[in-house]
Amino acid sequence: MDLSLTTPILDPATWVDAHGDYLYRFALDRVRDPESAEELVQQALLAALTARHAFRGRSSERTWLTAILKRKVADWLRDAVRQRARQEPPPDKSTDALFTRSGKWKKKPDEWSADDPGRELNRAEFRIVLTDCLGKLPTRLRQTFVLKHVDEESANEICRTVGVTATNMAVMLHRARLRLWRCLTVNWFGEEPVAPSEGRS
Amino acid sequence: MITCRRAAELISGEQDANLPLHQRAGLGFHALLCAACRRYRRQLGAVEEAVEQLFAGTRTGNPDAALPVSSKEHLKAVINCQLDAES
Repeated sequence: MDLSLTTPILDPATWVDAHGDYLYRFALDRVRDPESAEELVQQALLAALTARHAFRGRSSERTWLTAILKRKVADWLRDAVRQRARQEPPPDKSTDALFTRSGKWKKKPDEWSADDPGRELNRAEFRIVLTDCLGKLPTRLRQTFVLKHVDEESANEICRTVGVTATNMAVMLHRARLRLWRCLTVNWFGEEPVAPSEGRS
Repeated sequence: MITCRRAAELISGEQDANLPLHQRAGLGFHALLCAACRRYRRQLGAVEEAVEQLFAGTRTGNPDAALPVSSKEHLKAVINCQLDAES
């Protein structure tokens, strides 16, 4: 009888070489800070080591480790967002700049050259641009937006656990999306090269 | 009628939860008449989908990043130490 079919095999001695870089990139994509990403990988692997007897082999070793890391990443983001939860989001010139005083688009959204970012994701270049655009978001907007995507909870539940009002949460998510949309429009989907004046401003 | 600025806020809001009826109606009516906001709504939905997939998936936007060697050595030492202690 093949034991590997009934007994899940984990080999912690090989984790760092087999999954270390992958896990590090996973964390770095989400927290953006290299030191924190390193720290989170350490925490996750040590937690996995302690919990390894609970591994049932329903997923691959890597998937199991990633799930543990993902929880650590969500905790880290929740802490980061919670720290500034009581501060009102400051006025955002970047959002204001897209609309006229009467609330119309200053420049109407252009048609995109490709309308399916899901498919674009297959291209490494697009993933790099998307990641860069996420990285350009102001820290607090980015952490809030990424938390919304990493945390399995609903937006309302996230508000409750990090102590942000629903209104402030909505404002920050909106600003993050508007900036991200703008960044992708300019850097990936725009049909025409950006006018120099717009690029520099 | 609501402004485009307000419509953009609601378009973000509908990504996170079902909007209350009056907001849904306000956005629906605005979108009916405003091609720019229809386009923004479609594009934002696509951006959201891409982010969702990026974070759900295993592909990365930092293909060259690697766990620093010092960190690797430290971790291996801790793991091996723990394994030795148990055996």
